[in-house]
Amino acid sequence: MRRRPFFVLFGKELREQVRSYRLLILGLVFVFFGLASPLLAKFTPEIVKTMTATEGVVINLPEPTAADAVAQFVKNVSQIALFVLVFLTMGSVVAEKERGTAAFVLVKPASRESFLAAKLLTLWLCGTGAFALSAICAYGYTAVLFTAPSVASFVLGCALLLLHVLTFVTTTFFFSTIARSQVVAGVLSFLVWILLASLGSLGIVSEFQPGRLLSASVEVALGAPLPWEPLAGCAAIIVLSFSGAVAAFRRWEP
Amino acid sequence: MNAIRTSALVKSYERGKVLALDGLDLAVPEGSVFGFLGPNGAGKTTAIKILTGLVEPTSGDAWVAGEPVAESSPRLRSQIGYLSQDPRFYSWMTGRELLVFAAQLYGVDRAAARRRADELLELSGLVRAATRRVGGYSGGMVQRLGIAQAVVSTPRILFLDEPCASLDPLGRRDVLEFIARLRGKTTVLMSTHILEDVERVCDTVGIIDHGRMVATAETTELGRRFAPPVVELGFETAEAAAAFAAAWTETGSATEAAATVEGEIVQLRALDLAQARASALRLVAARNLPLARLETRSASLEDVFVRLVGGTS
Repeated sequence: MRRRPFFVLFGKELREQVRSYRLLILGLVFVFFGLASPLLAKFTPEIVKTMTATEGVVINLPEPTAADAVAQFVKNVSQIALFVLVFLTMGSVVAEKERGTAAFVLVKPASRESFLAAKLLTLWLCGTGAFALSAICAYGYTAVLFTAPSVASFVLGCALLLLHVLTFVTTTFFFSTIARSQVVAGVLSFLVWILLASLGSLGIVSEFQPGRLLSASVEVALGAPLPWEPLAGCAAIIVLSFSGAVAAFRRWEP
Repeated sequence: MNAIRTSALVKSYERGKVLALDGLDLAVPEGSVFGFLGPNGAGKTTAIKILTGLVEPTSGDAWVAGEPVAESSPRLRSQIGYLSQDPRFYSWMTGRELLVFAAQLYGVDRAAARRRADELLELSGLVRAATRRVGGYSGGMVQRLGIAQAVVSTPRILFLDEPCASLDPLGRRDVLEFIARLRGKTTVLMSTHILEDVERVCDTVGIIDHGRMVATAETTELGRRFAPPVVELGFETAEAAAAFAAAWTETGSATEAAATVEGEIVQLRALDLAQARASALRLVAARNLPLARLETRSASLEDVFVRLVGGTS
């Protein structure tokens, strides 16, 4: 069966994720944090008590709840797991430009847009898959160690967290397209990440910043209503990042 | 009809400070094997990158297979094959996977792509390495794989940038024979600075220097048009050769034929070879110089190349 170049490229990207063990690493990291988050929430107060008791200090910590487990999961995924994901994404385009393999593909009847789209879709798919595994683990352990949150609310909260993760994957992808080295792409991604996080004090703009999804995801997972502003902010960043990547890549000359 | 044509093609970098192509006019007849010759940095690779749609020209026009290159449509790219100067492929793929992948990008279905890949692996002598990762291939094997992927779609026009660069003599012979077999079916534009390769397979040659085409002709015509035959005198000693050259200038014969000395050899370049030959023989006899041989030699491609770009590269 004849396949359009996009699907050929998409198939190649998926195989590359598997063969380079990137998918495996990503899956393991996310699953680890999915399992570890409820455990940390449950046992951190006890560990603290044990450590301080020997020094004669008594600290009264509230009994941990499912909300703490979800908050721990959001914190871990939005920090360490996302760091790993950005690390695996930053070479996505720039490595192909550096190695010369991009030119090998682009001289064939595949458009530059489909080259980028196949890459981004693969990154999203792998990120989503790893995240889904992680969320299932986190939900299961939260249910075992605490009380099970509502499935619908938990899924909605996770969807918000996933959107936050994919937004940063897309900005990293943009920098991977415009940068001249993987390191530069990675550094720029983290700088933008920090910049966006610091928008919290800028009045109305702060309502739209992706970082708001993190607190919202915990609240929504536990039954709070869905905020639309950070959703719109993420959508805008994703659209701008991909459009910018396409515009820059059209002008790129090997 | 020309399969490839460019008109006043210009490519500059760094806001015009570096001029890679300076009004290149090129015409490659359909079905020919065109040797694109030039010293390093002459603009060969830039021209090929423009013609394959990888790089945009600063100004000027280019057509490949009758279509303007500037639009660089997938339809145009479906008609061309390209081997870069320094071919790089996905190191995690096997040789067979790479060829199947390349064929599928041209819209070939999976089964047909596999058949084509096997055919090309056989043709390029890579059958035994077909299931090995490309990352473990030697330079010569990568080059052969590069040529195989360039012809995977049986292109109308094939661009080969230094196709024999990293091949051993046997590999080089095979590649040149393969290119020669394409004559009449595929238009081949082959850039190189190995003059011998051009003489072996190319029917037309274009010499580029400083981004401009300085000569284009059929390979057999090039010498006659751009470097006339020479009278070559071989003396028994270098001193005798030097004495002849001095006497040649002294007697005023240098105005009818320019003399160049290299060791025991003196070359005379003249429009009237018979007259130069007779004058040379008279001078040798008059000065009683120990002449070992005298012959009239056609100019080689090297002579033409040196004459056209030697002083500027």
